[in-house]
Amino acid sequence: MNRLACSLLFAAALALASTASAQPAPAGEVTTFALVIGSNAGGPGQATLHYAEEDAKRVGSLLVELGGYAQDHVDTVLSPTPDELRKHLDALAKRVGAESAAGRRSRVTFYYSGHARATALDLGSAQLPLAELRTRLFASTAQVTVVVLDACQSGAFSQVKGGAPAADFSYNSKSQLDATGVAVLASSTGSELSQESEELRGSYFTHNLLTGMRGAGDANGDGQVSIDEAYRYAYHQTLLATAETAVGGQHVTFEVDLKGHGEVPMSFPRASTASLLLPAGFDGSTIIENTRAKTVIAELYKAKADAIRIAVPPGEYDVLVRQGTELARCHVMTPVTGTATVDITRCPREKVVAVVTKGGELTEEQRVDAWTEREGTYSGKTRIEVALTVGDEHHDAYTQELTNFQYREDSGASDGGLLVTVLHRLTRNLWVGGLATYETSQPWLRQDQLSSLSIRWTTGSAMATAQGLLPFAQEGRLSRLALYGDAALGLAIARTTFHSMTTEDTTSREWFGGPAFAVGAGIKFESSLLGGVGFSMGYQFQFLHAIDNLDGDTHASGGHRLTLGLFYAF
Amino acid sequence: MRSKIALAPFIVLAVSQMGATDGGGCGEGGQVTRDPGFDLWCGDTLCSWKIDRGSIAKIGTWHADDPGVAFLGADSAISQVSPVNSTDGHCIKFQLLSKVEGSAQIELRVDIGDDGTVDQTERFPVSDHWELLVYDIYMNRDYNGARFEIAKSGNGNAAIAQIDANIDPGACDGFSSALADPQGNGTVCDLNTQCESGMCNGMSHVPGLDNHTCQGCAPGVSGTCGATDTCGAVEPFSAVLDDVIHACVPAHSAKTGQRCYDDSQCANSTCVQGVCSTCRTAADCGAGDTCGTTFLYGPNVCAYKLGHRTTGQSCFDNADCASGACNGTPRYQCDDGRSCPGGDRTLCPPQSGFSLEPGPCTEVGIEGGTCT
Repeated sequence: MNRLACSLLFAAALALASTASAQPAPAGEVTTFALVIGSNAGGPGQATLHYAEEDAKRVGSLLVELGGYAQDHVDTVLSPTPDELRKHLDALAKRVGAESAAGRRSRVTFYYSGHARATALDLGSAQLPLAELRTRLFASTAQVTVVVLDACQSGAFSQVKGGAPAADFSYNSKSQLDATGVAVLASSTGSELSQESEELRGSYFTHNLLTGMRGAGDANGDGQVSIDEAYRYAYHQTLLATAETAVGGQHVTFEVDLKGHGEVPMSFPRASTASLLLPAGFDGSTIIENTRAKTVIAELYKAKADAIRIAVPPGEYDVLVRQGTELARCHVMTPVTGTATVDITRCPREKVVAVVTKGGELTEEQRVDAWTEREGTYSGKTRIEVALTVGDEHHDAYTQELTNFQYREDSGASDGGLLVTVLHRLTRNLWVGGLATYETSQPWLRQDQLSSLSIRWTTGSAMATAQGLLPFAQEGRLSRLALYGDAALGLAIARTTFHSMTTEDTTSREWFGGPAFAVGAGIKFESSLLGGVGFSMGYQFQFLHAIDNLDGDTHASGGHRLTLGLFYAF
Repeated sequence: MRSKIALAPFIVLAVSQMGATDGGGCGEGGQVTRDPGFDLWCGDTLCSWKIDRGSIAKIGTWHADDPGVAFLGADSAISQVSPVNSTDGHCIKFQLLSKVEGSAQIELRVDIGDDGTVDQTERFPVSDHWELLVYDIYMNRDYNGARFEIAKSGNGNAAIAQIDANIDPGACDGFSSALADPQGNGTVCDLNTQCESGMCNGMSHVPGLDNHTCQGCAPGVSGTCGATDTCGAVEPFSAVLDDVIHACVPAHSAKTGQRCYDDSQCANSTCVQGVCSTCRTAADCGAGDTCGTTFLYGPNVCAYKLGHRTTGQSCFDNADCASGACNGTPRYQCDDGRSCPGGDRTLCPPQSGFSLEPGPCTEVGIEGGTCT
């Protein structure tokens, strides 16, 4: 998503916030409704998001699980068309209207995760104008409307508004009782990208928001998470989780236009029957993942002194605790009712998370840095490789002439040589540099009872080269294995040695030069134990076009080669 | 950088001693020419090829130090007699490299049996580069030896870099048939019709060949030669001809030391063990002198090397004469006793059946000598 689009999206959000009428709060219960939208698809020029729809599902589920929303009051809509979204907005307004007509107060949560452009939400290839969205939401008679937007550069709405952004922690929900009006939570500031996490399988913001709502954000321990607590938690945890990524820290923003008294609750984790306890005594970024569903339930920073209770559905969970560059993975089971305690001292350790942007694109340098930080393998800036080469000599008109003159190639052995390559990493998958080859041919002999003639040649070359490298996997053991392909172009020199033992014993040597190129492919393995040291095995075709004969034939020395190499990256 | 070490003396020694060790030359699938790459040069001439006509020059081929042969002048030729025979095989595959201008003609001539008649001719095509030529020749009956000649005519430039001739162990499929009848005296035959003389009646003396040889006459049979001639033993003029050849020769014309069939062939009417001699017994010599053999395939002479012979008496060696001077024509012989005039060892058969190298040609005495 580009910045302008993001800005306008949040301008619309601001308009909602600033113009919504705060309705008087009738006495009695508050009925909650939620319209949750997720859309992975992008418009023209926008990348497809990976987890926007998954985030929407999680939000919808958690609102039912812990938010006090009735199942049929949460309308989760995935990849809607504009017309479909209009229908859902109409339906929402009708239900809120019905509640108001019955004298009951209502609270609406609108959640959107996806792309937007300057004047509209991108819903696949079609758009819903933001002005229309505003109008429809304004028509709601809900006492409180909470708008949660998970998109990039969320802070832009303040600039459009013309006022200063809300100061961090400046909103004190304690002073707001029986609140009415609109609150907007946005995933990032106006100059930031929002980020998705491959490891979390969702956006940092939504996951931190949900984690907070599961209980991690219950700062006062009253068993419910207010919008203020949710914001505070999401702010801290999102910033913490993204501070070390390639994109950089992501700041959640909060704009409110609320009047009256009372807190605006987002969730009631105390109502959950099952929970996970992260005891005091360890610290680190912590992710709770449902083992079977492979979905992340919560992500939080666990302080050493604190014990945190996270409400979860009964089941099996993997608790991932990142400490430095390591990740402890704990497998726990929660009972139907009760609490399971996580003991990370018994947990195996792994690597840390990967990063992609939410709707935005990382620069290549950012990708390389992120990958380098994550993988460690093939991550050096410079790689020096020494390889042995072996293979039969290339045959051409020159060698055919030798054959015509009854010379026979020594069939006892193949040609062998040395290959030295120095490469500098341009991108994650592309390296450039130079290579040098040195090789001595087997002799070509013509012998009879009275004479012996032979010729052999030594070749060398210096070439500029480019090498593509493709690891088998993004992480794990297979990431240490990589396919490579390279091409090189340069100059070759050759020296021939002709030995004639007839009526005289003569040896003559000649020097030649010419163009050279080489192409190759193979597999590399970078050891995890030897720190930048690795091995390679592959194929190379060398073509060193240099050696002339008196008939005008030029021999391209080289040919098909097997290579066995040792490299060091730093 | 170039370095040279003179090896000529070693090569000459090697050539002279090569006979017994030159294995593989005429074996199945083996090379049948010596120095097929024209690598061996003795000065400005080839060591293993004979210049029959004109002159040649050493030239570079694909590499300056891998020599070929340029034929100079309008008529020049080189040749080599190979001892290949039908025990080696009947199929010979030639692979040649030549470069010929349009105004020159150059051809390979194959004289099977080296009887003086060319049995197969292959003309090389015009080419401005070293062109590989392949000729397959099938010897359609038993044979002994062949002479390979490369002859150039015309004023244009012509050169050859290789003449690789190998026995092909295959069935000669697709090979050109060669060996035109009839053949000259001394060649291998099985039928009278295969000989120019119409007489295929002598047993071959070539080891391994259970054949006859063409003969010019039937020794001891009257009427096969003219009135002044006799059917005698003549010297083969090639290393590959049988060493026993009978032909009509003038009676009493062979000198001491030369071959003979009977007394009628020798000038002094004394033919002892196939060689014209000066005596049969001591009675033929002066008082006190003995009559003895000189060496294998040599004549019987009186007082051999004893210096007893006086002026005007016959002799075979300077040491036979009291004066120390025996006047006559030096006789050179191969190991099998045949003449090799002028010391031309190419006229001598190889010492071994597996060798391509000619045997030695040694000066043994003086034909028809007389003490001065």
